[in-house]
Amino acid sequence: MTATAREGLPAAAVDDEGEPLRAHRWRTPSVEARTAGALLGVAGLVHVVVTPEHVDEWAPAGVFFAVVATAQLWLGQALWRGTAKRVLPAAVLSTAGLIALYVVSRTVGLPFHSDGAAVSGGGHHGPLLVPGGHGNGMPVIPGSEGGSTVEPVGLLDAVCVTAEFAALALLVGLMAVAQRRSVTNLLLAVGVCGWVAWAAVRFT
Amino acid sequence: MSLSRRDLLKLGVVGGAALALPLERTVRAGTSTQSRLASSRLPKPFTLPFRVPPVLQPSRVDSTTDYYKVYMKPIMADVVPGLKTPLWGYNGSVPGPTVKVAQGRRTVMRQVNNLPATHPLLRYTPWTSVHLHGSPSAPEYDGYASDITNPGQYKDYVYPNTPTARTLWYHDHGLHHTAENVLMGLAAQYHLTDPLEQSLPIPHGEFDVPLIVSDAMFATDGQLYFDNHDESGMFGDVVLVNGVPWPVMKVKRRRYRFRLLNASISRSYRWSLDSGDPFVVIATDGGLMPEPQRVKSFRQGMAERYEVVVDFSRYPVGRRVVLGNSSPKNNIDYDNTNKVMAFDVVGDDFDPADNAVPDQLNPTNPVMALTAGDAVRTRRLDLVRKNSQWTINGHTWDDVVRSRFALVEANPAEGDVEVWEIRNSSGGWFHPVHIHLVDFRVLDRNGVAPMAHELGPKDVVYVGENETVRVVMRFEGRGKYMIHCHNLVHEDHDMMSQFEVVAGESTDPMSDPCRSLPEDGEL
Ligand SMILES: [Cu+2]
Repeated sequence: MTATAREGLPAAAVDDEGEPLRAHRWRTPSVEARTAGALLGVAGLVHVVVTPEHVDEWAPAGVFFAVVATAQLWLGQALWRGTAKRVLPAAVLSTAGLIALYVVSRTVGLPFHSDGAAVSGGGHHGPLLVPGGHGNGMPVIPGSEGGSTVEPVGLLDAVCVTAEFAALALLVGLMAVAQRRSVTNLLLAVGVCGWVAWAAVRFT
Repeated sequence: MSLSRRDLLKLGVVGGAALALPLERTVRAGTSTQSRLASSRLPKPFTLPFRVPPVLQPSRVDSTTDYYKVYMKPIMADVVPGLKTPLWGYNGSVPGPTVKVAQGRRTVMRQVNNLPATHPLLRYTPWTSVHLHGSPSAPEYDGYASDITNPGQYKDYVYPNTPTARTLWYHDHGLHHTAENVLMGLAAQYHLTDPLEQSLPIPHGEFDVPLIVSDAMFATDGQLYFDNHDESGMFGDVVLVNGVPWPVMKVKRRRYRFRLLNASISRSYRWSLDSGDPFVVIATDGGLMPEPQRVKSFRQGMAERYEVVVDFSRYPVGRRVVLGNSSPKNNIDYDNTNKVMAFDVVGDDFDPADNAVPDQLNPTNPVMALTAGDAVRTRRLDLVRKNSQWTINGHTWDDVVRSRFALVEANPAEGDVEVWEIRNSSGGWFHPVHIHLVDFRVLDRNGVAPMAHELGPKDVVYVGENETVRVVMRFEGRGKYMIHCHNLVHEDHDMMSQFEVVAGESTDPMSDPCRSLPEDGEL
């Protein structure tokens, strides 16, 4: 029994390459899908490049970056070859989640690294173990954000997040209309929350 | 693609947040950085007059003890002409006032933390812990990093002054911001004399001169400029001696004794005189060497003390002799960090007494008689960078704190002699290692005899790049004491651990905590 028969598609249907058409494939990857694939490839490569420095800082962070890089490169080639239809919702949500994580890490900082781990520019994070100390004893060096987990935006960051966001927009466009509405509403809600939180901090 | 206008609008809101908010935050953080004072605005070397810190007077004296009151407080200092620099000084002096005491007299120093509640720029609470470096103080008076005194509190430190004559220094040791507190000015010398030192015909009095060398960088507004280079070190483009940038000192045509203290946060020096003449090293951290050592240049790590005699009688009046620095590896150098200070030879009359260096200084110091064969065991200290932190045997002071101060690297019994093998297997940095409580003898470095200038009793040893240094010491004292790197940025992040001299009875380092200032502020 072929996959086609199992999925109940017309047995005669074949795609451009003469293979049986399957539900998780587009007939031909559109320009949008291929562009999204290429953009995710770029983002994946950026994550490959920065994995070693994150391993050096904190091993779990390195593992996370390696996993993200692998997933993005796989998704990129799948989109390029037109085999990613079934994972489209997962791709949209995980890309959106990754962007959200990035925004948090560059604005308020991530709540990791509390146990002897570190990000570049500061080895001491998390609770200060100073019995009897009044307040915080950790100097904050101007510019280096010492004592904070907020990282500054670098060139690679900007390239990566721009590629991811453009890919995200293209992937949303590939979704079915009904699905697309709930996804864009969800994204809008997150975006509005981000702006409101920023305004609340900056203007109060 | 079939995104509707509404879809695009929604995505625009999200995309705007994703791209703009991180950038906005980064730009805002960037604008809060200090801007560094241009090197053209720094004073020219050898234009400012040399000065010696004041001598601290006791507030009370009884038959056994000298009592001192020291207030740590903020001042506006004139360091770079034309600018005001906020600093913190012991009694408002940077460097702090020198304490002079004779062996056997006890001192009690009341250290009052009158610093602001938070550092004006770096926003930390400047708690303090005062360490008298070179003194076998009881654990509760040793400046244990976690035995802290907050602003508005004070602590009485008791010092026995039992060891041999030496150049000590008192400086801040407060947990996690020692580097910043010391850079702000909390460091000073402390001279202990004994009958042997007094009887030798080496220079005394006005010819026995403290040289506290440090480095700093300044911002355009006159404040100190802070950059710890990702917690690797703080380096300045200005070299200060007794708080003055590249001073010039008038010297008479005779011998002078200089008590060289490297009080820099992270910079090590290799001294030389531009005349090519040697220094005669007469004392190291723990006091007089068995015999003087003549060296044309020598390196000095942070917190090391060397007493050197320089003979200016060999120069004509009007000659300028420059003390230079050919930087050891892994320092960050600037235009004038190769210069330290200048000596202008003058023809004034001088007292001809104490103008010699005898061939024997202190040949019977038991520390210098110790050999590896006396040791009951050998221990290893590994200085390693791990998870972006500086560690000793993989441990940090946070580990010590988390263990409720139980974690120790070594637990010799009282009176034990041990060899410690201190290993720095990196080529990227050096670590001057300070072992509290003890005086040790340096046995060898990478299997080779120690350098000539190290042939005296020591309490800090320069563990350079890819060096393994062996030291031998006898543990006299009781209780817990710190071991740490004296690159104070390393110490703060967090290359510090401890050992315990095990004895029947000992006191806890936290057993005599600070007290709050009375309401009226009067003590
Ligand atoms: Cu170090």
